[in-house]
Amino acid sequence: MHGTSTLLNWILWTPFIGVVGVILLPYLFSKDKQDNVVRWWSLLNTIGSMILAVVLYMKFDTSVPGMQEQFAVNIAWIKQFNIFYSLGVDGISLPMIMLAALLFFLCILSSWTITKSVKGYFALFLMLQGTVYGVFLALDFFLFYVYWEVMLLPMFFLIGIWGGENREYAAVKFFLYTFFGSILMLVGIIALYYASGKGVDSFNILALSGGKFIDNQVHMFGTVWSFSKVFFWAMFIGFAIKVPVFPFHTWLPHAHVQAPTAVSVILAGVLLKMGTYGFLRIAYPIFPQASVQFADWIAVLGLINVIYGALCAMAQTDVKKLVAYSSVSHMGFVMLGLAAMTVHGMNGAVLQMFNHGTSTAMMFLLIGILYERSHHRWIVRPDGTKGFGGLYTQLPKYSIVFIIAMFASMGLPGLSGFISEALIFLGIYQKYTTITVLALFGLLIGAAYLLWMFKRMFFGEVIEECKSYTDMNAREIFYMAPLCVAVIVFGIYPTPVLDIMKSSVGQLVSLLAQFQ
Amino acid sequence: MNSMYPFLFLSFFMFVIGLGVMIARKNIIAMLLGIELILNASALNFVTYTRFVNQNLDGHIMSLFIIIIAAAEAAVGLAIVIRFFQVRESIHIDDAAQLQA
Amino acid sequence: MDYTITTVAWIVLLPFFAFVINAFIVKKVPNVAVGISCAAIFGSFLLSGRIFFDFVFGKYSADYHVHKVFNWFDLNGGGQEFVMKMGIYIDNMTAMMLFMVTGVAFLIHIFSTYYMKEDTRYGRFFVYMSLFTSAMLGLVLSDNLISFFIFWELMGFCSYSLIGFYYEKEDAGNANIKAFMTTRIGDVFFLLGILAIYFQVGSFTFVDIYAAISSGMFTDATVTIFGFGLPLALIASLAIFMGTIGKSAQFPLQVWLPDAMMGPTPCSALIHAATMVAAGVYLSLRMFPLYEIHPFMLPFIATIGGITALGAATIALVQTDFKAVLAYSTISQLGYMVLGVGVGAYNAAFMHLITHAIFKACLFLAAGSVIHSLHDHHTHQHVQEMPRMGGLKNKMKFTWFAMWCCTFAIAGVPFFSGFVSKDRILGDALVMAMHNPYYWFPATLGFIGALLTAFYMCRMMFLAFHGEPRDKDLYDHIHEEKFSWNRNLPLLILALFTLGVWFSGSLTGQKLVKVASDKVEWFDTLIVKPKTENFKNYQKQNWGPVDIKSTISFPVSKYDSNHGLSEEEAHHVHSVHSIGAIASIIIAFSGIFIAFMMYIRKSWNPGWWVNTFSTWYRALQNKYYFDDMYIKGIIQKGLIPVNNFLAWVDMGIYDKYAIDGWEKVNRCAFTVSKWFDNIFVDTIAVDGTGASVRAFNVILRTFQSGKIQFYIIMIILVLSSYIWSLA
Repeated sequence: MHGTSTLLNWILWTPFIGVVGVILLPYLFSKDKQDNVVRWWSLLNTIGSMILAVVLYMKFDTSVPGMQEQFAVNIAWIKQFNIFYSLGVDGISLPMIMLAALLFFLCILSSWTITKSVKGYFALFLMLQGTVYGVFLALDFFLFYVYWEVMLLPMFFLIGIWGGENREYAAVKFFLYTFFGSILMLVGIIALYYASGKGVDSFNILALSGGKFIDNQVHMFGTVWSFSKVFFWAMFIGFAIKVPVFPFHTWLPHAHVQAPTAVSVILAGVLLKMGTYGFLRIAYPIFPQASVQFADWIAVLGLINVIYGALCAMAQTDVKKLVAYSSVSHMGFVMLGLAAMTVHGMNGAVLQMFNHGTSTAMMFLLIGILYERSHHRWIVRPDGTKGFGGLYTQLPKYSIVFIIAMFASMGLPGLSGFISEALIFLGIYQKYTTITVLALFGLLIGAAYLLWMFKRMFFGEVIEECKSYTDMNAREIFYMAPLCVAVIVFGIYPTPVLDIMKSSVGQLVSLLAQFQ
Repeated sequence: MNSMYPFLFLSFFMFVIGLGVMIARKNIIAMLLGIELILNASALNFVTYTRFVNQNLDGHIMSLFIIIIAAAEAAVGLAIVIRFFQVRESIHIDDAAQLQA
Repeated sequence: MDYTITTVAWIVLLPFFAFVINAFIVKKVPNVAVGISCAAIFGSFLLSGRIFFDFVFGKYSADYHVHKVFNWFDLNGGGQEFVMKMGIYIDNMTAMMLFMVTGVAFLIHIFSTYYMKEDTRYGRFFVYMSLFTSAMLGLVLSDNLISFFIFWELMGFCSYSLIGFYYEKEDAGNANIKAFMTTRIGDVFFLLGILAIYFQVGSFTFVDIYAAISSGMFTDATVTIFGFGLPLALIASLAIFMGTIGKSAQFPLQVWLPDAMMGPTPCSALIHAATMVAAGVYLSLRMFPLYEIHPFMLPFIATIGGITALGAATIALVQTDFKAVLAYSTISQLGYMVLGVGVGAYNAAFMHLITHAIFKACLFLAAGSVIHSLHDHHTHQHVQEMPRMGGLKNKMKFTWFAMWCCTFAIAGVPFFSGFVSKDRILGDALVMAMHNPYYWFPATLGFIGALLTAFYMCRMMFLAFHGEPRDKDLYDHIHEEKFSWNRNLPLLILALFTLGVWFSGSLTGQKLVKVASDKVEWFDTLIVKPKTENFKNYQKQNWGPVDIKSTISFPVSKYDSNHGLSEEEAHHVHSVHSIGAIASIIIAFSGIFIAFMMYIRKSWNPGWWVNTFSTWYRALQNKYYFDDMYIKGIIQKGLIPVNNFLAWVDMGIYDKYAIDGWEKVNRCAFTVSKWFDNIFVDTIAVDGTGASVRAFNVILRTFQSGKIQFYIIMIILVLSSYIWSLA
C-alpha cells in the first residue's frame, strides 16, 4: 500500500498542531486575552479538522469495499519489530471520523464557559481529538494500541480535574477499567505477532484478517486451547469494556455523571463507538470463525444491555445518570446488530453507532445547558422534592430541542434512531427470534423512562427555583442546530451515511458468511 | 676488613634501633629520626653488598639516591610536622589518628 | 389523473411542508402560519378529491389499484444486497380514506381557527395539526408495512404533543405519557409482526403479502419463540392486531383514550376520534387476508371488539364530563369496527370507519362549540361538566341541530349513516353466529352495546341541551350563537354527511327498501376484501416504477346483491340481516325512549339504578379499575420497584462489591505482600546483609585505628610471619 495522499496525515495531526498552538500562542498575548486566544484557536483548529473531514468525504469512493488505496499511508516506524505507521480509511471508519469532527467542534463551542485552567482544558481536549482520530485511522495494530492507550491520558485529566465533586473516583475508575481491557488486548496483539510469524505483516490489521488462525493452538494452564477462541475473548473483553457491554458497564454512569459536559458528549458520542469499532475492525475480521461461533453470546449480552440498561435508567433520579444508562441500552442495540452478522444487522449497527452519536450528544449537551443554569441535575431530589418543574413554560426553545433529542433517542420514525433500530431488528429476527421479542420491550421501556423524565421536568407549573432560568442563547442554539438537522435529515434520508458504509460492511458480512 | 659481617651487623642494629624508635616513641620528630636511621641502615647495606658482592658502583649510586631522598623526606616530613603543630599544638603521633583537621 | 409518485405524494407533502415552514415562522406570524396550514390541507383535499372521483365514479371497479414504488435506501455492496422500498398504493379504500381524512381535517382546521383563536399557542396548534395530517395521509397511502409503521408512530408523536398541548397542567403530562406508552405497547408488537411477515414473504408490501398468502406461504410456517414452535400466521396476525388494539384503544389497552381528551377539543375531534384511532381499524382491514388464515384469529378479534363495544358503552353511562362521554363512545364505536373485522364484515367495518369519522368529528366539534361558550367567570375555565349545563338548546341552535343529527347517526336511527354501517356489522355478526355458535357471544355484546349507545348519547343530549339550566349564572353569560363561517359551517357540513343516503342507496342500508338502482350501492361495490389470488402473478417484475396507462379501460363491476352466494344461501343471509335490522331499530328506539323517560319526563329515576347497583356503579366510575390495575398494580407495584431494585443492585451491590471490591482484594493482596516484603525481603534479606556487614566492621575497625605505630607493628608482624612461613 503506497499512497501519495497526505490527507490522513493532516487529519490525524491537525489536533496535535492545535495542542502545540494552545500551549505556545498565549505567550504572544497579554494576560487578560490569553483565555480567549486559546478558545478561538481551538475553535479554528476544530473547524479546520471538520473541513478536512469533509474533503475526505468528498474524495471518498463509495463504490470501493474495504480500505481506500488512494488515502493509504504506510511508513516504517520501528523496523526491528515490523511496526508501521500505517493509516487508512474505509466505510466503517469514515462515518466515525465525520462524527468525531462534528462533535469535537460542537464541544469546543459548548466548553466556552469553562473558566478553570482554560489552557490545560483545551490542550487536553484537542489531544483527545487527535487520539480518537488515531484509533479510527490506524491500520497497524501497534499504532492502534498506542492511540487507544494515549487516549486515556487526556480523558483521565479531563474528568479528574474539570469534573464534578466525585471526580477523582470516577477518573480513576474509568482509567483502571479501560486499562484492564487494554491489557487483554495487548496480550492479543503480542499473541498475534508471534502467531503470524513475526513477519512484515505481523501488526498489519488488514493482513491479519480473514480468518487465518483457525488451526493455531495455544498452551495455557497446562491445556491446549484454540488460539482464535482464547484471543477472541481477550479482544472481546477489551472492546466490551469500552462499549460498555454488561457486566463491564459500571464505569459509565460514574464517568458520565462526573465528567464536564463536553467530555460526556465525547465519551458517549465517540469513545463508546471505539469499542464497537474495535469489533468491526479487529475482532470480527481477524477471528471470523470464533465470532460466528460466539455470536449467540454477543446477542445475549446485547439483549441484557438493552433491557437492563433501560430498566436501570428508569430508576435514576439524576438526569445525566439516566441518559448514561440509556447509552448502555442503546449500545446494546449495536451489539445485537453485530451479533446478527447479516447485511441489515451490521449496517444497522454502524448506522446506530452514528445515530446514537448524534442523539446522545444532543441529550448531554442539553443537560449541560440546563446544568449551567441550575447547578444540579436532580429530577427528584433525594428528599423527594422536584428538582425541575415546568421547564416547558420557562424554556420553550430548549424544550423543543429537547423533544427532538428525546424522540430521536427513543427511535421515533422520521428521526435517525428508528432506521438503525429497525435495520438491527431486521437483522436479528431470523436468527434470534426470542431475543428480538425481548429486545423489542427494550424499545418500550426506552420510551417510558425518557417520557417519564420529560414529564417530571417539563410539565406542570414552573417551580420557584426554575423561574430564574434563561432560555438558550445564540451560541447554544448555534451548536445544537447542526445536530438537530443531522438527526432529522438522516431520519428521513439515511442514504448519505449508508452509501459510505454499505460496501465495507457488506464485505465484512460476506467474510463472516463464509464461516457461518 | 675483609669480612662484610661487621657492616651488616651495624646496619642491622641501625635498622632495629630506627624501627624501635618508630614504634616506641610518640614524638613525631623522633619518629622522623627513626626513619633516617632506617634509611641510613639500608644505605649502608647497599654499599656493603656492592663492595663485597657486586664489585661495581650500583650500590653507591643507590646510597646517593637514598641520601637525597632522605633529605627530601626530612624536609617534607618536618614541614608536615610544623603544619601539624600549628593546627594541633602537639607533635604527639596519637593526635594524628584522624584524617580531618 | 396521472398516478405517479410525484403527483400523488403532494397530498402528503403539502401539509408536511406547511409543518416545516410553520415550525419556523409560527412565533413571528401565527396568523400566516394558520393560513398556510389551512391552505395546505385544502390543497391536499383537492388532490384527494380528484383521486376519489377518479376511483369512485371514473373506474368503478373493486380490483383497480395503483402501486408505485421507489427506493428509499439500499444496502447493496460488498457482495450483499438489501433494498428498502417505499411506495404508494391506491385502491378504492385508500381513495375513500384520503377524501374522508382531508375533508374532515380541513373542516376541523376551519373550526380550529374559531376555537383556538384566543389561545396563546394558536399558531403552534396548527403546526402539530399539519404534521399530523401529513402523517395520517402518508399512512393511508402506504404500500408497505414499514412506511405504515413510520407514519403510525409519527401520528403517535403528534397525538403525544397535542394531548400535552396545555403543558402547564400536570395532568396533561400524565395523559400524554399514558397515551404514548399504551399505544407503543401495541406498536412494539406491530413491529414484531412486521418482522415475522418480512422473513416469510421477503417484502413489506401489501401486494407481496397478499401474493404470499394466496400461494400458501403462511399455512404451515412456524416461528420458534422461547423454544415453542408456534404457527407463524397466528403470531404475525396477533402481533399486528396488537397494533390495532393499542392505536384503536381496544380492550385491554383502552385506558389511554379518555385521558387523551386533555388536548384541545379540535385535536380530540381529528386525532382521537375521527382519524388516528381509526388507523388501527384501517390496518386490520389491510391485513384482513392474513387474519383469515388461522381459525383462532377472527373469533378473537370479534371478541375483543365486542367486549370493547359493550364495556366502553357501560362506562359512558355514568360519565358526567361532556367530552368523556364522547371519548367512551369513540372507544365503543371502534369496538364495533373491530367486531366488524372479526365477523368478516369487511365492507361494513370500513363503512363504519368512514361514517363514524364524520359523525364523531362533528360531535366533538359541537362539543367544542359548547365548551367554548361555557366560560366560568370565577375560575376562568371552560366548563365541561354536564351537571352545570342544561337548556342550552335555546342559546345555540346550530350546534344543537348538528349534534342531534350525529346523535341519531351514532344511536342507529334509520336514515342516518350510523344505522347503515353499524347495522350491517351487527347483521353480519348474526350471520356468523348462525354458522358458528361462538359468535353469539360477541354478537350479543354488540346488540346490548347498541342499546346503551342510544341511551347514553341521548342522555348526554338531554342533560346538556334540554330541560332547565342547572347553573343559572353560567347560563346567563352564554352569548347567543350567531352563524359564523368558521364555527357553524363545519358542523353543518359534517351533519349533512351523517345522512345514510350518501353511503347506501337503500335508506335502511339493508336493501329492505330499495329506492335506487343497484349502482347507487357504490360502497358495497367498491369495497371488497382483497382477493389475494389477484396478486399471485403480481410479482417481483413489477417492482420498478410501473406505468399504468391512463387509457386502460376498467371493467365495470356489477353490484351483486347476493354477495356472490347462491340464491338459497343469499336468501338465508338476507333474512338474517332483516332480523338484525329490525332488532337494531327496536334497540335504538328503546334506548332513546329510556333516556327520554329518565331525563325529560323524569318518570324513571336514574338514582334508583345507582343505588340498586352501587357496586357496578362504582366499578363503572372507576372504569372497571383498569387504570388502577395498570398504574397502581403493574407500574407502581411492579415496574418501579423492579427498576429501583435493579438500579440498587447495579450501583449498590454489583458496582460496590464486584467492581470496587477489587480494591478490597487489592488491599488484602497489598497487605500480604507488604508484610512479606517487610519481614523477609527487607528485614531479613536486605537489612540482614547490612547488619552482618556492620558486625564485621566492628572487628575491622579496631585495626583501622589511624595509629601509625600500630600499623607498623602490624606490618612487621605480617612481614615476619610471611618470612617465617617461607622459611
